[in-house]
Amino acid sequence: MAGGKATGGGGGGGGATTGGGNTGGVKPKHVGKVPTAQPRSQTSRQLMDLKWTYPVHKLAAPEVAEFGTSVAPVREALSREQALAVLAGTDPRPLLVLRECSVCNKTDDALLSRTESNERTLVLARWFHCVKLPVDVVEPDHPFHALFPSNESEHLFVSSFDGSAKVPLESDTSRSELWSAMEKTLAVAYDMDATRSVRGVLAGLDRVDQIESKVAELELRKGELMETPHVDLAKVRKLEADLVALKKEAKDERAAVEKLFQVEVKAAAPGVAR
Amino acid sequence: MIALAVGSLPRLVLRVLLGFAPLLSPVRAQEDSKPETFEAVDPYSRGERALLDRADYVSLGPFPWCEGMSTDDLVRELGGIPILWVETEHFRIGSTLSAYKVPSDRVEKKRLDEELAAIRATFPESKPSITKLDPWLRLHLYARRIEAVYDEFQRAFGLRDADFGTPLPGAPPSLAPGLYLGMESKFTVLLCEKRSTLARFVRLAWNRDGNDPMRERLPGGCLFFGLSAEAVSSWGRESDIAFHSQVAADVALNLVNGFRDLGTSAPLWFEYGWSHVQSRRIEERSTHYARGTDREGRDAWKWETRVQGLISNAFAPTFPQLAEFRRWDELSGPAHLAAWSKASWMLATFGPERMRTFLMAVTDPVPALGEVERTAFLRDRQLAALQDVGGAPVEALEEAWRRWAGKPGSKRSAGPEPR
Repeated sequence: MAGGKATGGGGGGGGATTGGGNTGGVKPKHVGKVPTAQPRSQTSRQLMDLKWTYPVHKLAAPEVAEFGTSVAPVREALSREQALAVLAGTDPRPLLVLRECSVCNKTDDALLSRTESNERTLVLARWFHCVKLPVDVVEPDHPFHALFPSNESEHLFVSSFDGSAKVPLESDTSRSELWSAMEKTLAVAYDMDATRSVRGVLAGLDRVDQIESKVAELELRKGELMETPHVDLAKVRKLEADLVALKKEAKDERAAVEKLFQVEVKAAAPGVAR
Repeated sequence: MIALAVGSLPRLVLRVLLGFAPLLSPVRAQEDSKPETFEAVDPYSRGERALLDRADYVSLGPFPWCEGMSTDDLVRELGGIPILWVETEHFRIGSTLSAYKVPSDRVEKKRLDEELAAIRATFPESKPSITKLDPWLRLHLYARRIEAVYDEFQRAFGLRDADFGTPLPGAPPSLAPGLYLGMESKFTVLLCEKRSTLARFVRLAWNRDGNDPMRERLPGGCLFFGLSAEAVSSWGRESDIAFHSQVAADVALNLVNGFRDLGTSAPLWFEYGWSHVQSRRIEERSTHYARGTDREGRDAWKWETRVQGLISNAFAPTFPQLAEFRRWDELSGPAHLAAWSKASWMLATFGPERMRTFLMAVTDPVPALGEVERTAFLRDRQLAALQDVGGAPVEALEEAWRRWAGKPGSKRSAGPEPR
């Protein structure tokens, strides 16, 4: 924040604050609300985090006529093709599009389960371009209305980036149907075996968690020692040295998982029907 | 002051006894949840001018939000969800916070009791509920809470509204032309129930993805802060008091960042030390920005004792060491604890006039310098300002702080009480 008028991205001095922080002795629930198979480390949760985009289609500024008058822009629905083009932008990844609902308690319900592990869903979603649209998308004049024309429309769909091979999904879709739809869509977009890749990612996350839990334990121990009056300083120095080595290991494991997520999309087939 | 477990524990136990899964299933969640409707007219003021004046409100909307954007624009662009608005003396605030069921937490209930008494005094015919805060009540509470941070900032640094803007004839020169601590427009605050609302606002305002919390400058000379309850909840904190303490922390940061609108921030450690003081004034059990201070144990929230431990082992960063920090993620747990304790000590020891002198000195414009020279300049300047207002060399001030904070058995670091 040097020079700091722009306060940066906010929180924590410009850093994303995805959890942690001081809890002052009151044990919080697990950071993150999405059920996973086991308590995951903060790093693993960050790696699995659903990265939504929230497109807002701004109306074009009105053209000012010769004598300074102008007509206020009117919000109107785009065609399906236009809407998909705006949503996808220059991102060639397949789309996972969810509409928020005024009735659903949490809008991720359509995608995530509150009772079962969501790890496979979260990992698969990392290869999608995830888009979340607002409640009023069903209104006739909403720019993205064509994608969800009414309240009866599905809450979620997956498709190729251009809207082809669309698979509508609902909150009561079974996990196996959901995963099957996601994997089929991924198979069209990428040269990869999604099932195998998910397995690889989850195994990598397990290794990350193992190291991170050791790091957390040592950090905690070190902090407690530092705050204990008249402590043996050699013990603190030893912990510091152990932490340096472990953090390097954690960084390498994290990088290995990140690499698994970096898969190039196949060249787009020209003229695919939307 | 407080040594108790999470307030919602009984509810959690009850859930387990009743059977956890059915309560959490998505189907059940959807059956249970109806779209929350916000009353069109504020039931507390009924929109009556006399009552709005009593609350020191300018308006309940619509009003301009920032240059080129009104509250009506936001209602249209943020997805058709209900948003409540209030313009206070120094802030423009929007809220999509939904109704909140107050948990059986002693600390939270005590604070709310006091706050609701003030609401009743402002709106005499209202009957705010202590068990459930409706969306309008939450708006009124946050309007008061956010203005309270502004009041506290002015009190702590010996500032008045009259110090800013165009001075009256014969009056001393103002500190900055902008009326709001030097900013041209009122500070804006958007409190959201969901992350997606804040994310859409960020996309709309800056055409990019943002963070949650988010602090950034908006067109027209105002500083924005936004936060969602969903984000705070994802940190393991669902209570309103945790949300409140985070709001206080971020508003406190924006006030320092906006001071005089000169494009220079106060020293990083001091900004966060000040922010922790404001956050912990509300809730000592969670200071979210103090990364690396997590500890197990029921007394972990007692930072005074922990600072004393650091001092006894010479692990508390000194003023010159703190002056080296440039980024929040560089601040270690001990650095956060020391920053909080030292900011508390300065506020309690120097008093408003000298704190104002300090703040003025460390926020003066920085000459054009290379990165290395700039870092050295900022470090030297803050240490010189400290010596100036402390009236002693830095080493002597360090020792004075150690004596103040390091005395076992005393609770020294709470800082001055708010007005």
